[in-house]
Amino acid sequence: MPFMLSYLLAPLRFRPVFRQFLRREIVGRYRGSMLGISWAFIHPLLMLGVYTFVFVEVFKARWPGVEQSGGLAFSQRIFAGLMVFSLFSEVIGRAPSLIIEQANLVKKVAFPLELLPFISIGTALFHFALSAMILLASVLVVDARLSATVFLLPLVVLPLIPLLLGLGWLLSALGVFVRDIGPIVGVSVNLLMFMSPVFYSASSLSPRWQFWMNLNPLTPVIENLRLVVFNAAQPHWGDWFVSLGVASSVALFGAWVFYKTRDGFADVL
Amino acid sequence: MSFDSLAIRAQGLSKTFVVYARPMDRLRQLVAGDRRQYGKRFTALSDIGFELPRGKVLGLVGDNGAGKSTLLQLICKTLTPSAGTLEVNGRVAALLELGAGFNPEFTGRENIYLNAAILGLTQAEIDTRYSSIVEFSGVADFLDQPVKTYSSGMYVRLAFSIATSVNPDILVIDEALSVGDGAFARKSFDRIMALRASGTTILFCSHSMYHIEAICDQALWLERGRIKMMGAPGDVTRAYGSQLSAAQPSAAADATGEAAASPARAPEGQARLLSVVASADAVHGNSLKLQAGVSTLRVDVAFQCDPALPTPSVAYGLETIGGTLVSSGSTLFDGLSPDIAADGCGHASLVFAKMPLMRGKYRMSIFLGCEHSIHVYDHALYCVELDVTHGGLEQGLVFLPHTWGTAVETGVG
Repeated sequence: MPFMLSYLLAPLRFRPVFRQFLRREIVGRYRGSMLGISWAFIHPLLMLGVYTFVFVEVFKARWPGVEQSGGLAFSQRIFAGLMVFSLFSEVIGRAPSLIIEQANLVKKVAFPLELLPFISIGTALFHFALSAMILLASVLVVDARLSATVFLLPLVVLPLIPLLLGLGWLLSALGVFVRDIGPIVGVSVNLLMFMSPVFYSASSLSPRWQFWMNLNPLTPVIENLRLVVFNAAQPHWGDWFVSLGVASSVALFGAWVFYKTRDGFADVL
Repeated sequence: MSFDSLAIRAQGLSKTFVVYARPMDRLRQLVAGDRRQYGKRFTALSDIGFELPRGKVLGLVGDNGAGKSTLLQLICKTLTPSAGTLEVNGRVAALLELGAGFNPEFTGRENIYLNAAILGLTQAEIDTRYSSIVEFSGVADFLDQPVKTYSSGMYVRLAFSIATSVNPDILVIDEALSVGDGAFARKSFDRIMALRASGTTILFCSHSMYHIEAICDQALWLERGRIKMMGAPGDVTRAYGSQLSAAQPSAAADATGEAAASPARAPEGQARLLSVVASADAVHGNSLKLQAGVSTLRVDVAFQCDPALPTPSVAYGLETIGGTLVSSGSTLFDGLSPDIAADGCGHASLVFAKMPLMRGKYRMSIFLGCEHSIHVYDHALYCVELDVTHGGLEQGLVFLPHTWGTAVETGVG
């Protein structure tokens, strides 16, 4: 299936288009606002502030295992979970309307549509990277040191990329034909926030629930991220390999569905 | 013929549109394949086969709905063929819907980069062409404004500049050989002609038989999605023209009888130029050499119109290469009305005796307008080029009729 390779290499094959669209997405979001691109920084910073206030001051919550280090440790761990979840929801939430919104690109110009999920992933990764910098800075301030394992952070997030790519292709293609996909995905993403270990640690659950929790593709990413950032520990490589394998199959399946259905896009837009 | 010398090769090309009541039905169709039909089928093109060598110009003629635009869209790859094969070798630039790829919220500058990237240019290539794109479009003062604030003319000018700046191997044009208004229309026409001269393969469809005959190397006549005729432009336009003249009176007769019942069959009020033939001192051609004050220029214009229309007017415009209008005239303003035969064919001849132009290069355009010379049915821009020479040292554009008085008058004062 030669189209698989050409889909996977789309950002390289259409580098100038990819670059221009990425720029347009990132810069365009804050167009016209006074603070401009700084919002991309301010937004996660405010989020970190709000979580700290709510969980530390209002709920007096403590993270299991680090009770003594107080509320900031708690909000940092939530922030880490939320960062991963936002990366997921930013891409998946938009995926069903990705192609519908670009009807002009489908019908009026010859455009490499398979590039669209890469563009939204690129945008989301940009925001993720900014959040990661804020997180690491806050760890540095609180603990006065960063462990060497933080360099594994990009590797820890890696399995999420093929997953997002595959779901991006799948949902954007199906969304063209079945308009209900949009609301279904919207509700599912909201549910997933609470079914992922964002506001709690998966290890605090009973083994029975942990089994179900581990079927969630976000779980190993969030847990591994916390391990490398806060515990100076190696990620669970077993989980990592399994999720990379599953995610890669999702990517191939998504590419296949996209390839099979793309000729129909122009007929119904 | 070797593969590489072909710009386009189509074999058994068909395009069937299926109209689905719901988008979901399209998905069902993809799953079911050919086993079941979920929508209504409409065949826009069937069994189209042709080859277009590199650097040649192919003109498409045919009535509205014959499939011309569908064929152009297939070549631009915005549509995929339902059956058959289509090989397109080279970078395609399309003047189909100018500005379709623009993002209205973004500035002109950003849209240049965005659009040129879609058309296949690298960042470095865009950088080097940027200033020429801006200069040609004439919107330099508005580059930092969002294109949603542009006038439609500016929009089209910018889009045209980008589309033709990518050095396309194949240029696909729907209908008009020039875009925009006034001066830009001429610039755009010149640019398309320059691309043609530099070896760009061009595909265009036009209702102007004159353009088809003057510019194309090959013409293709589509009728209800099939090739009716393909060959030398002159032969095709003649055959198409004679079918029109045969079809239109009867359609007109139908329309008078049952205008309310079948409005779709009523003839559209159309008129078109059939030919413009120029000669100077018995030499025929589109590019003529004239001797100032000596040569006689004759331009014969043949046209055809819906006989139901009021008699159209024929007009000419003469300008310098630089674009300064030297003179113009119309049968209407000169108080003439061309005779129209029963089939709608008419003729007008224009004669300039002892051509009073001074030395220089000039171009003439012929227009076929309505009875008030307001609406232009058809035009042949720059169909005649004149190269005027004269031996004297006088400067200027034209000789004005004048007299000198040189006798010494006596008894005055």
